[in-house]
Amino acid sequence: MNLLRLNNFKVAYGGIKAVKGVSLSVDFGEVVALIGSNGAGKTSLLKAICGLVDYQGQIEFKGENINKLRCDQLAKLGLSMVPEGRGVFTRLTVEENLLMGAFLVNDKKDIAKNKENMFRMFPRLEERRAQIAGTLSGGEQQMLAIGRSLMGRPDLLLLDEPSMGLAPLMVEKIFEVINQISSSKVTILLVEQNAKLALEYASRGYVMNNGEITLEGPSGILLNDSSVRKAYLGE
Amino acid sequence: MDIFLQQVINGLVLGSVYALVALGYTMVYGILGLINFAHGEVVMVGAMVFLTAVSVLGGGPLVLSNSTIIVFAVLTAIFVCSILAFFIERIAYRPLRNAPRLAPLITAIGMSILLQNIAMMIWGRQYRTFPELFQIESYTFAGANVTNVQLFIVGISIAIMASLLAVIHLTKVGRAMRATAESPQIASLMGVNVNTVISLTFIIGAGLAAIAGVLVSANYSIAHYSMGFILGLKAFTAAVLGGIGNLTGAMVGGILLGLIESIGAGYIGDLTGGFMGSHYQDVFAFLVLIIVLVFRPTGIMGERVADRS
Repeated sequence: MNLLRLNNFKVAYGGIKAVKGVSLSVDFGEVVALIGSNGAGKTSLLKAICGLVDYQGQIEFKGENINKLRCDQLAKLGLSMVPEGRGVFTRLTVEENLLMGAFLVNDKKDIAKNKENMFRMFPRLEERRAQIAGTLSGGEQQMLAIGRSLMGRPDLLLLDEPSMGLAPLMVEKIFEVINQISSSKVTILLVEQNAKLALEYASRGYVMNNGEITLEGPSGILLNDSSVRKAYLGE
Repeated sequence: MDIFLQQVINGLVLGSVYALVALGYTMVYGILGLINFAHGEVVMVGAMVFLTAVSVLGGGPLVLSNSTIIVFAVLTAIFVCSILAFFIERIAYRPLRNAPRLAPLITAIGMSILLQNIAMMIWGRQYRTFPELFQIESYTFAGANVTNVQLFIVGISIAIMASLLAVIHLTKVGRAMRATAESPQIASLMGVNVNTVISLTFIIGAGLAAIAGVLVSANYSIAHYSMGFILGLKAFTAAVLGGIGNLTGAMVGGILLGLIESIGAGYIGDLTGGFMGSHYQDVFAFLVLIIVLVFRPTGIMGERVADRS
């Protein structure tokens, strides 16, 4: 069954069409990669799914139509996004950022337990728990942004360019974490410019170009597709 | 009599009221990037509603003690101002949330004029005197006079400001407000209803304004439909002086502005050889505003103006 389903989904900024009628679906427990070059409309698509920008078309989450819902209502349903450029609250401490992620959780014990889980997953965050998040390195901020999203125990996690601007070692670490998250039954829709890495971790992928899905299929097939290899893997 | 110490005491009293009002400006600016010029009028409405409530409760069939009357009248003022501010935001600012910044600014000025005129229609043009609800006692302290009302104003202001800081920094709601101030979009991704946070910000600011209105009319023993305008501008100056968007800055800026004004008014006569008197008091606030805007537009504690504009 589909966890998320888009049908003829469009996003436009004034007269500029960023997403031109995209249909895609994400099943429970999957890791799906959405790859494409700069300006393909990937970020616009993710933002629209979360209700951050206006869109047209059908969108279903857990089988329900969520067209009219606001961002905060979608969060309540179990939809979470780690935005491009992490979007941590730079003036709040690391711990406060994590607690913001658990804004909709009321059980204090559950929050405390989940926080410990995050600190176990990201020991660096525990060392810096009282530090202002704006003073963290890019990689640490990315960990914090992911940890913050997980604090809300989402069913679907949208990750926008988690590898952007990070050192190779850090990128590897972030993807290990993504793997770990997906094994804990969180469904992931991953937007990446690093197509090879994204497809290696995902089971399926969509290739987006100029606001449209131009190719879709299992990761293995996309990785061996000559057009994908040419356009995104530098061959 | 020690003029300097006397002016410091007066300055602290004035400054605590400025600080309470400045907090309302700075909280709204922090979240919406909007200067709510109608905020001064909320202060005035607070004072007027308080006086009306006192006369209704005092003249009613129930025999109430003066302290009961004061408490109920203050609560009424807070309640009315909160509702007023809630509707100001809903009606005047929310529809313009995504409009260019000039539009809500002009609306705010319009709202300020509108409220003044409505207040004039309700409460009249004449000055209203503060009733004698308590015995004013004066104490002499190192050559300066201080009244129990003044001590009360400073004390209650400090207590309110401390509680506000505690709410903002230690509670979940306060955390959501700080998060929303930094990025409404990301806060909404966390499940925060940004509109609720904005309404709450206006309501809290109005509560502080209502208390400030009561305190300032108690201090001067009068209230007037236009009292909010200059007071609002000065509190705005205090917020800019402290660094607009910064809560601690608003408090520091308020106290500092009160001191500058008071001390300035106390000495301007001597300094100009009697050419200018203490009625030039208002000049100091706006002199401060100009100097801050020219030399340190981010204010004393602010570092945010640049990244928000």
